[in-house]
Amino acid sequence: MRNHILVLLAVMVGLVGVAIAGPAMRQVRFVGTHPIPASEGGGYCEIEGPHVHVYAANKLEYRVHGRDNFFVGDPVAYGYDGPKKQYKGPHPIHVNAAVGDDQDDVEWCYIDGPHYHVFAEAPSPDFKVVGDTYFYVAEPPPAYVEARPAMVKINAIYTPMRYSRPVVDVEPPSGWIGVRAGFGGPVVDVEGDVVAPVIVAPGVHAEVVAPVVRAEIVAPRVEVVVPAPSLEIGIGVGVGVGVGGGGRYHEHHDNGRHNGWGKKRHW
Amino acid sequence: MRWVFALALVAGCSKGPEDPRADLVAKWKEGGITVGAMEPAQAGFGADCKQTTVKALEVLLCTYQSPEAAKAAEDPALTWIGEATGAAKASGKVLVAVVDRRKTDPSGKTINQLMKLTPK
Repeated sequence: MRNHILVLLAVMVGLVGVAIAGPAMRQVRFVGTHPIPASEGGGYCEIEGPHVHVYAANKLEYRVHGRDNFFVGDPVAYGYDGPKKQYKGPHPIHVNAAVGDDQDDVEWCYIDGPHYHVFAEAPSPDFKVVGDTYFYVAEPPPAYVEARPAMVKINAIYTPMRYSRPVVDVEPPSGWIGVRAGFGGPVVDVEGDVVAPVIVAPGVHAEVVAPVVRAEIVAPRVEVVVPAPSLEIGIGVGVGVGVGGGGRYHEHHDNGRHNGWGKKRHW
Repeated sequence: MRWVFALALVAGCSKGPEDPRADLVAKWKEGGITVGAMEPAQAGFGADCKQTTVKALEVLLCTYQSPEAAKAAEDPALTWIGEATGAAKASGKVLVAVVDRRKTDPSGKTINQLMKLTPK
């Protein structure tokens, strides 16, 4: 009997030990600079080439390039203060040019309004540079249109963020995607808010603060419910606390599996 | 004649086969990086590996018979990095792997500097 109790205790201690240690953290591949999740200390990762971390990339701000996650959001929103280029409205990104490899890969940035990237597009008739701002003026392909309903939700991340956005006070060139029907319509964010597109009339300052119109939209609320179970699982098992992290950044993560998008690279 | 032969032998032995790591480390030093002493290291993905430190980062340098073999070792080197921030890159016949196990380089600045000074 005494032996049985001892064995039982040993098993229980072992199980507690496993629960505390948790599962091994998974390496996630990145290429290019990117924000560091708040749960990992925050800040901005300056590694330009391929590298690994043990935290995930989220689906809205990253695209998969080859096997690596490439950041397509606005780095300034996360404290980046290095060289940058300013854009206005959605646009393609030639990731291979941005990271300096030969894997052809065109991804899309769905950020409405003025924003920054660390890369610049190569001269192309698809872009017009007015002042210092890149405007996409070509016809977006079906892939852009198809992915837009999902990917445009990136604006729900950036719209409420307080940071120094570029001030674009020039007239958008003719053909700019931001004023074309079907490519710059209202955006429904994950909380059911309707976020107005940032379309600035010619000659008006584009300080970006997009008006947010509250609306009672039933359907999108379903999307808010979906992520909850995964959070409950993580807590119930007693592992992963501090691995995946909290905060808005991680509400969108998909454990590094994304589809996925630059200028020269660097090593 | 014997003297000539002996001199030639000594001259040849004194130089020996050049360690491809030497050029790389020289580039790093030229770039302002302080590199610690090289110690022999065991790695499952390389027969000739040496380990050193750059600041508090662990750096592994393995040599291979060909640049292709070094390139092929990039992925296996990720297992050496393990559960930490790091990077692996082939540079000619040398594979360079760096890992920040102590989290002393949170922004990756030193890793980036090291890798940028490492040519493909």
